[in-house]
Parts: sequence; structure tokens; C-alpha cells
Amino acid sequence: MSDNPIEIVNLRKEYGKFVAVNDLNLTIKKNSFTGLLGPNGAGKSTTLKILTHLINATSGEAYLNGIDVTKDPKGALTDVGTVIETPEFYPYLTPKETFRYVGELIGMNREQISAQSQEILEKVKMTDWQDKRLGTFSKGMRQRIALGQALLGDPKIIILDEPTSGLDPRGMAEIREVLKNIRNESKDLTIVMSSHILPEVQDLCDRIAFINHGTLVKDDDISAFESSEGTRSIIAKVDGLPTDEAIREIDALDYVVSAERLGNDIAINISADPSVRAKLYADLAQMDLNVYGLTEEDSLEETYLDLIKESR
Amino acid sequence: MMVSDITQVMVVTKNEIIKCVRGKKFMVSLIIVFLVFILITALQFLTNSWDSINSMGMVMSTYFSTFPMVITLVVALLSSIAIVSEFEERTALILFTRPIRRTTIFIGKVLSCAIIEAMMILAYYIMATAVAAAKASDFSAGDMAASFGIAILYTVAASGIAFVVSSFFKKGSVCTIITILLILIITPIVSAVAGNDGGENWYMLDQAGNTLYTCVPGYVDMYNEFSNQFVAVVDNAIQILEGFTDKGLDPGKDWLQAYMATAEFQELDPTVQVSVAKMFAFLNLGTDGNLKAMIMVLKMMTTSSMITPMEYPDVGKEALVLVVWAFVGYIIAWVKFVRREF
Repeated sequence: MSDNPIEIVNLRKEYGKFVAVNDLNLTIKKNSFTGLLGPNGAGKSTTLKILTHLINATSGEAYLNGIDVTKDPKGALTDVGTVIETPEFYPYLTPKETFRYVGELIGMNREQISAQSQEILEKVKMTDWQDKRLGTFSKGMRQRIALGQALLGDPKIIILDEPTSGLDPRGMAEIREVLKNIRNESKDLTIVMSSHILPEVQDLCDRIAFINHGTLVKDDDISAFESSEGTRSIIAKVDGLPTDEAIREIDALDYVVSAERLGNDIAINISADPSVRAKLYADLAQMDLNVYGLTEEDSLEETYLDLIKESR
Repeated sequence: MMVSDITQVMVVTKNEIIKCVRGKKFMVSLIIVFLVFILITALQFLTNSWDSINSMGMVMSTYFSTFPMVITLVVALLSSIAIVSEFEERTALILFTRPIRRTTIFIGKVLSCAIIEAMMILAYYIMATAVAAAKASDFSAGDMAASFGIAILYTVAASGIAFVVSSFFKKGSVCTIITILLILIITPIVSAVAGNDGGENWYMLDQAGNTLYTCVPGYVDMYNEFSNQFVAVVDNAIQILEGFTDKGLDPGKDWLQAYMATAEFQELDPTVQVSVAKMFAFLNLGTDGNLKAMIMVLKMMTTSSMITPMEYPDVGKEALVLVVWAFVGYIIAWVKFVRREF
């Protein structure tokens, strides 16, 4: 087995005649934050539920840290934290008691649980609520606790299935912030997250695995999804009508693929390389153009829709 | 770090107990247990029957003949939701995704339910034993202990059935209702049908459960004493009624007719007059009418199971029946639970 933390080999799940996961092969790279994308019914949640042993595979293998979860779920899930959808907690327990329960289950001693619980509660901003019963919590608060319990024991893998589903915009933002912090602070952590929300995936993930009809369509770095044939489209908002001379000047820049007028704006195609974007911003500031805003076209959405069409 | 299954069983059991004790259904179960005891005791005072509780038989009859029903209610409230609630309330998404075998979770749940339910039953037995020790002249701690043992086995067996229901259905409330229906209504019906015409029904859950009070010899003796007295009274009544002939009735009819014509009868209270008139009408029907029917009914009563003498139960056999019910129930529930998908 390779040292990839998650390896899915010919995984299949059938519900009668319906094939939810169709001989899926997928490898999640170590220390990556991979977004699992795909339309409704693509097989994302089913795959993650097999990985977390909530459902059984019809055939195939799914390795977590080198252990096949279909054969040894206890061993495979030993170093894994999970948040599947929006889980509920025992309403009569407090966050501290819930963490103690989960901590004891995964073999942490009392001192370890106590110390790490405090640390995690701070991370998920729930310290003030640690002794209140979970039955009184809002959905957003419960989801932060769900994320917290997934971090107990410093797992090497975290599996998230639509972790912001059903939350209000504030709740979504809070969860994203927590996830960003986890990603930035952890050195040896692989995260895989399914989501329908493309900006969320763009914001958090560095890789994307696109699934449709239960099979892998594309698996690559996020930059490969964001650019169309290696380019990015940027719209420069200009105060006043941009002159032809100004457009020619931009077009003449050696890293610009094309520049053209788009009403009062200028559509500029450049290389997807982030350093090129930085150069463009600096050069536009030097020109006498009165640029008051730059927006990047959501190429991930375009790619997403194209992939759905192609994989029909 | 891989944690041993035994450690995880203890963790699950402990937390299931904490979770359950803080829940509303635990409080309701506790209220039922205490309320039943208080109600039975209060009724003894209200009906001036408190002094009649003077033997182990009377203690069992008073406090334990309805106790299997109380146990069933407690089990239906607590055990029937043990598995289904994980799916219905989505807590399985936290617990089942941890490095823990489903079997470990199952054993933890079985143990926690058994411990909590046993504690409630123990509380009832402590109160009832105090009454027995104070009132029963033939008090036997051994009999109470045997009864408690059977009560625990019945609880575990009923809990096994509740777990089966809980592992198949999707709603906790449905599981509670089905468990009550199965144990309190369907099982006694099947048991009664199986026991008709001298059929065997010792293997039924309710029959084995009744052993928790029939295992006390004083109860069986008391029951048989009442039963024998009742049979003797009915036999006497049959003999008296069979002694009546049309010829034998005529003097009585004539005498009543003459009496009803007297001034003394006219001065009687109207309700007494009506009674005498009814008696006269009854005698007029002769032996072919009501008398024959009455004799037939009385004879049927002496042969009905209602007053059939009770045998001392084979406590060991009934305990084994309860163990088998529990074992079968838990095995079916376990097989379903470990395969159940979210």
C-alpha cells in the first residue's frame, strides 16, 4: 500500500438495481484538503458513508491509513475524525461530557481529554458553552461541537460530508473559519470534504475530486479546475469608458493572453499562475485607467458545469 | 491507539446510563414504579384491607401480581428506544463513525438498560420487602430473593424483545407502542389460546414472567385455599339446587301464594314485596327453566381454569425459558443492528 492516507479501489455500492458508487477509484494525497464535488446523487455522500462505516460497500476496498475499512472498520477509523452531515448529540450531555465520551472511546486518558477539550473548545469558539446541555444549542453551535469532537485525539484524517449543510450564512461562515484555522494550524492532517457550495470549496480546498454517476471524472489541484486551458478571466471595472489605446496597452503586456472591451469594463485573460495576477494588479495601478475594481470570473463553476455535461 | 473492546463496552455503558438517567423517559419510568407501590398501599388503607396482608401469599398477590405489567412498561419506555434513537436522532453519525465495533455499542446498550431497569425493580422490591417483613407472619427473605431473580430475568427477556423491535423500526414512539402491544396484549392472547383445553403454555413469556409471584409457595397455597373454598361453595350450591324437584317446589309455591294474600305481606316494605313476588315467579318456572341452566353454569365454573388448582411452578424451567427468550431476542436484535445502515 502507498502512504496515501485515503485510497479507494473499485468501490461499488448498489441499492437494488441502482448503482450509487460505480467501481470508484480515488486517491487522496497526504496533507491535502480535498473537496469532493459532484451533483446530487453523484455518490459523494455514499462514498464518505462507506469510508466512515455507516454503510457497507457492495464490493471494493477503501483504505484509511492503509487499513481497509470494509474489512476492519475499527482499525481503519482509529486515526480518523468525522463530521457526516449535521450530526446530533445526546441532548442531555454538555460539550465537555460529549468530548469526554468520544475521548474515552478513542483511548484518551482523563488528563489528555481535559487538556485537549479546552484547546478545541477555544478553537471552535465554544468555551463559554462547555457546561451547557447540547439540547439547548443552535444548529450552528452543534456543528461547531461536531467539528470539535472530530479533532479529538489529533486525527491524521478528517472526513467532512457537507459540514455547512442546513446552516444559516453566519453558521456557514463560522464553520469555514474554524476549518481554515484547522487547515492552517495542522501540519500532518489530510481533510476530505464533500460540498455543493463551490465558493466554499474554492475557499478551503487545494484539490478537487469531481465525481458523477458514482465514478471519478477528474481529480486535480484546484488551480486546474479554476482555469480554462491554463488561463483565468479577470474583469477590470473602470471609472469612465476605457480607451482603445488603454486596451491595446494591456493586451501588449507579455503575460496577457487577450484584452477586450466589455461595455465599460475590460475583460483580461491571463495565465492562471497567481504571480501573474499580482503583476497585472500592479501594472493596472500604474496605468492612467481609474480602475476601481477587479473581479475574477468564477471559472470553477464553468468547469463544474462542463464536467457535468461531459460526464452525462 | 486501539482501545480494547472491553474498555469501550464500559465507556458506552457508563455514558448510556448518564444519558438515560438525565432523560424524561427515565423519570417517567421511575414515577410509574413508585406510583404503583404508593397506589397499591393506599388502596389497602382505603378499602380497610391493610390488615389482611398477613402472609407472603397476600404480599405477592397484592404487590406483585401486576408487577410483570409494570416491568413491561419500564422496558417499553427505556429499552425499546435504545437502538432506534441512534438513527432517529442522528446521534449514530457521531458514535458509529468512531473506531468502535457495532457489537461493542450493542453490548454497552444492553448492559446499561439492564442495569437501569434492574435498579428500578430493586427499588420496588426493597419497598415491598419492607412491607412483607413487617406484615407477613411467614416472611421469607429467600422467597423474596427468588422472586427478584425471576423479575430480573423477565426484565432482561422483555428487554430482548424490545431490542428486536428497536432494531427493526425507524421511530422510537412506534417501537414503544409495538413493544407494549407484543408483550402485554399479543403474548397473553397467544398464551391463552395455547393453554386452552389443557394445552402447554409454560414456554410463553407471560407465563414465565408470572413465576415472579407464583415462585413463592405461600402464594400458591393461598390461591389453592381460596380456590378450594370456592369450589366447595359451588359444589354445595349445585347439590342444593339439584335436590329441588317440581314436587318439592309445590309446597313452597303454595306457601308463598298464601303468604302474599295475608295482611302481613301487604304491610311489608314494597322492595321486600317485590323480592318475594320474584321468588314466587322463579319457583313457578319449575325445574325445567332457570334451575337447570343455573346448575349447568355452576358446573362449568368448577371445571374452568379460573378455579383450577395451581401447581407449584418449576422455577428452574421457567427461569430457563426467560433466559432463552432473552438470548433469542438479543441475537436477532444484534444481527439486525450490526447490519443496519444509516
